[in-house]
Amino acid sequence: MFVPTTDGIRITLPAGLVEFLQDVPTALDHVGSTPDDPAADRFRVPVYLDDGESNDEFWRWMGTELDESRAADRSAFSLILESADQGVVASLGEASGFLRVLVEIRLALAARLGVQVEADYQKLDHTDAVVLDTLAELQVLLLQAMSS
Amino acid sequence: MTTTLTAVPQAPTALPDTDSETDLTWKVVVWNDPVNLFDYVIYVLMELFGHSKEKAEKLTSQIHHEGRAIVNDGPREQAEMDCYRLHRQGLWATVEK
Repeated sequence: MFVPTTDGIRITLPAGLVEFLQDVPTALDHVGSTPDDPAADRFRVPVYLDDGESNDEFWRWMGTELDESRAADRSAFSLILESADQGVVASLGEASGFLRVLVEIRLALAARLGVQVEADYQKLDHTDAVVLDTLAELQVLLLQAMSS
Repeated sequence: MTTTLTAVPQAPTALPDTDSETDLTWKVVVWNDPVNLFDYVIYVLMELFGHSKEKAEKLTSQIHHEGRAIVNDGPREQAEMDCYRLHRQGLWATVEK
C-alpha cells in the first residue's frame, strides 16, 4: 500500500479502500456543522487550562490558520486518492498531509462515538470498531513507510 | 501510472509578541488521549522537536502512563507555536508556566 521511493511514498490502494476513503474530506469539512458536535470540540481543545483570555487569543490567531492547513491537507488527500488505485507517488510532505487526514478523521469519529478512555473501545459496535481499526492500520503502514 | 503531486503549505508565522513575559520559560505539555497511536506520537515528537527515538519513546510512555508530559519549553511565543504544530498533528497540547 505504501512503499518508500527516492521521490517520496508510492501509494497504491485497492479500489474498495479508495471508495471508503473518498468520503473522508467531506466528512471532515462538516465537522462542527451541527450543534454540540464532539468532533468540533476535539479540534478546539483548550491550550491554556487556567487562562481563558489567553486561550481565546490563541484560537483567534491560530484557529483560522489551522483550519486552512487542514483544508490543504484534505485537498492533497483527495488528489492522491484520484490516482491511488493505479499508484501515485506522494512527496514526504504530501504523505505527511495524507497521514494527518487519517489521524483527523479517526479523532473525529472516535469523538462522535464517545471514546474518551481506552476502555470505551470495548463498547463500540463491530462496524464502528472495524472502521477505527482500518484507519489505524493505514496510519501504521504509512508511518512505517515514511520512517524507513 | 505514477503521478507526482504538489506541495502542502507550511505552518504560519508566530503570534505577535504582545507579552512582556516572553523571557520566562513556558512549558509545552502533551496530554494522553485514547485515540492517537503510540507510534504516531513518537513520530510526531521526533519530527517536530528533533528528539531521538529513545527520548520520544520515553516521553510517549510518560504521556500514556502519567497522562501528560512536558515535550519542550522556551519563550511563550515559541511554546505557542509548538502548541500549534502539535495541534496540527492531532495531538492535544497545552502551554503553561
